[in-house]
Amino acid sequence: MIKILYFASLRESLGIAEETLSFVPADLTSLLKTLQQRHGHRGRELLLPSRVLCAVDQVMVDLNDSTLVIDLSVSKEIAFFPPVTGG
Amino acid sequence: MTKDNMTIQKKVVVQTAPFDIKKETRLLTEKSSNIGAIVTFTGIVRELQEEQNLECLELEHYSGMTEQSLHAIVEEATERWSLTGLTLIHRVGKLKPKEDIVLVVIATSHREAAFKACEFLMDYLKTRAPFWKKCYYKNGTTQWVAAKLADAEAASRW
Repeated sequence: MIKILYFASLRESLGIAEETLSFVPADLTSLLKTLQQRHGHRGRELLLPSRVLCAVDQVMVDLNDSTLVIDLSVSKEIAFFPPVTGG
Repeated sequence: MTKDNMTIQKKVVVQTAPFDIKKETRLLTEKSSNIGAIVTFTGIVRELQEEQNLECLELEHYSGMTEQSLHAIVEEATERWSLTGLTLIHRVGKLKPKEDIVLVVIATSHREAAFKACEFLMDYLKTRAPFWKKCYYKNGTTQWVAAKLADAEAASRW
């Protein structure tokens, strides 16, 4: 089971802060596809590597890095969020 | 980690409460006899945002990851420059105009490292730490602050 978290404007746009997946997708690309389908046109519009940042178990990963290999079977928490604006 | 690195006084806090700049500076300096420079940076809530008057600013964060990423940024700063002490406090929750948001205090033997480490810390924090700002305007509307390209460019120079 994988926990998915959404933050800030993405959380508000999708209308959900947290959800769980009962199966483990092969990789982050297929995870994003699954989530896009779950969240209809908002999901297809927003859950794109060009629009969101991603953290796997609280460590930022680059969704645009084609060489990125993440083993989701050992991951517990995947977060998606807009570019950060702290400071 | 070098022996020098282990003796650096480091403090990283995420909190809702205000911070006391003088107290934080004193805490960094009182135990060391090797400090010749202190650089502090304070980020405050700007009243005028996008030409609109702000009622308050809400700081959201990813609890857990925030602390981890701030510690990682602090570690990197202490590896790059010879620092004696470093304090980083970032507030979250709803803040009024002119309230403090973030504090960086850097203590070093000489000023150059302190200035550089402080700029580095803020540049990295602005692009890597999971905080998000939401503006609540006096006219009743709200708006999430958009990330600035200039911040990404500032972080990439390091």
